[in-house]
Amino acid sequence: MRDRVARGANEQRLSAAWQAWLAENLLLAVPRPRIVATLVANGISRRVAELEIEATLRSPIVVGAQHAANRARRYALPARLERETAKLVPSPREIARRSGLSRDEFFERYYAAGVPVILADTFERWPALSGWSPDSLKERLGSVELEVTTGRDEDPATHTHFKRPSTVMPLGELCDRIVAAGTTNAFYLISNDFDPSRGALARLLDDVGPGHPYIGDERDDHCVLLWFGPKGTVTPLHHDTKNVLLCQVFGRKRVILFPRFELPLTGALPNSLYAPIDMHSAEPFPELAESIRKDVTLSPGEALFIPVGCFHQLHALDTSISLGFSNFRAPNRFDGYQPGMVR
Amino acid sequence: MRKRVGPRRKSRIEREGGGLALSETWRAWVAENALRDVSRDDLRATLEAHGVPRVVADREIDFVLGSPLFVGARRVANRAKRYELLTRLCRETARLGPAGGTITRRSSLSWEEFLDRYYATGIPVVLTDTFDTWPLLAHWSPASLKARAGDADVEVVTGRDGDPACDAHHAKLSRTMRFGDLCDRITVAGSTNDFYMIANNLATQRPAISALLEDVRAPHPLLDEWRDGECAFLWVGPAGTVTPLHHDTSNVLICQVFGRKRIRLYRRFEVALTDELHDAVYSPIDAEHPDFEAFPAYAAMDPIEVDLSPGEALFVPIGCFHHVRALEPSINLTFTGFRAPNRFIWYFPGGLR
Repeated sequence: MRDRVARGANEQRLSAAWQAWLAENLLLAVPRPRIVATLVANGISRRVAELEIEATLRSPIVVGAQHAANRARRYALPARLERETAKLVPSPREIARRSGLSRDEFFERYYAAGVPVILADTFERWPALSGWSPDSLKERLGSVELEVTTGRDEDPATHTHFKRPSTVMPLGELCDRIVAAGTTNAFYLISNDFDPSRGALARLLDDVGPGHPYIGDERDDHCVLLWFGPKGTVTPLHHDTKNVLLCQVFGRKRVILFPRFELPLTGALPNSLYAPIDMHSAEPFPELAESIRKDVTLSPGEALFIPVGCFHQLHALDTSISLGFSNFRAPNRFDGYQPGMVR
Repeated sequence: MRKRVGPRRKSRIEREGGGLALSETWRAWVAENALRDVSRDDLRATLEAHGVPRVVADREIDFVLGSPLFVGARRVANRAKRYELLTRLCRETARLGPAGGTITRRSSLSWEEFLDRYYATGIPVVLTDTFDTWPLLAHWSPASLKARAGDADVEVVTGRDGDPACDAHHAKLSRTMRFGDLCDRITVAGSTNDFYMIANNLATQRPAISALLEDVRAPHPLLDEWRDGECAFLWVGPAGTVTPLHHDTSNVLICQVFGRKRIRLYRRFEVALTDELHDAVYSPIDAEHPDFEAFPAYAAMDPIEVDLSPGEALFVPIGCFHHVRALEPSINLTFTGFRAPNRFIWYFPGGLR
């Protein structure tokens, strides 16, 4: 490329990464003073910043990209409408707690619309679930050997790894360790690593019998998920490619959840479903400043419907047992929904 | 992806520093089409067909694709693709409810449920009990309105058959006539789109017509400021009037008073509908006979079709494209004065071309 701007030999130039950043932000119509301020804050002189902006705007590549940029900005507008109208309810950060919800209303109002809801009476359908606790699991199945995810404290990205570090231990020992551990994210039984419908644990699933109005009767093929861990476990921010009903059996879990139209999150996804953003940290992702961030605490006996595509982060406030179901009485395969893979 | 034909006026190749290089216009063309996912081979073939030597074409394509500016542009283009995935997700889940993507008819809907379930989520719904709230509306007909306000002058859009963009050009096409004459004409004209009193004719801001709004005096569960001429609009026309596919910049409640109207409506997550807007809210797509070859994205969408009968009201959420045809001589009111904020003037995707 010919030098677009004549400069002295020792004058600073933008690195390739900053050139890309500049083109991206100009195409997104970020106000120019904000762009200049960011460049200046990163050690670029105001004069060079202005020259680079002029040159970038004149570049045939940026001119040719204007059509794609307008499209991207246009397509973001309906999602902004979703956000702005969703804020009009009395408590946009809450998730409605419902009981006695009919099958039709659940599927029309929540499942088809992608709206989360907390079901307060699922355990009336599955009374045996109320008996689950670390003690009762140890008593019933203490000798069953399980693969438990370990070393989670050392590797914050543990969830993104295909093969996670794990340790095989009897369920009884896991129960003891959970009770003794206090607050930790170091180990966690998550059924991504085993199939609870097979082996000795399958007996537990007798407690979640058939006939649920929203959940099908199958209990195999990974449609049932189990999480069992100490206080302090964290499942980082991610979205699933299925709808999930998360039943909180023992202890409390805090859930931070974004509606599915909060797509700016996916811009930060490193080729996976997990976002490198800790919602507990002080500094949220800048694009999320205006977003709707729901924040709820699930108590034992409550179930949260997590619609496909909704980013969520989970945090055990107590020793916690949760069951998840994905075999709704409606189609539930959205494998292609991986916006983070668009690169 | 449709490939845009390259620029014709400018020369393709300019001498640059002794070698051969593409003109800036053609470089922009390469960038634009690469961002449309036109393959490298197709880009090269088009350049060669326009007389660019293969070696120059390859070098130029490398230059564009390898530029940091293109990296930034690609990130922007990818945003649109993510929204397309979200559209697909919303469309597919919308099919899974008991209503199967059709519209629900409800009565006795409370404001709280309406707000949570429809207004806040942008889901359309038909309310079947308009006349329970406003029983006097059931007596509206061309004859009764003529008897009450027939001498009033009103503006009517005319010559609509001669101008396909007649709704965008309503100001130019509007003529003054007596309201009584309009009421007479709508029943005898047969099926025609040639004349139509639309919301933009602002009839409800005329005292004689706004007096008719006494009939909507009773408090409405969903509306608060509804009798004001700024947020109540009157539509009067013969069978056959058409309002082409468009979106509004506010939420709207269409109350059907006399005759039936057929409304074809698209959920607002159908982002590709905004591709065809040209600095306006009206789409050139004929919603009744869409040209799938010209608008391939349209074929995947699920239009919701609803025939609105007298006494029914349709909630059209902000951003939902809709097309309206009067099946019979029709009188309807539309309202925007909901009990919640309803100003979204920033929502103008047509301005981003």
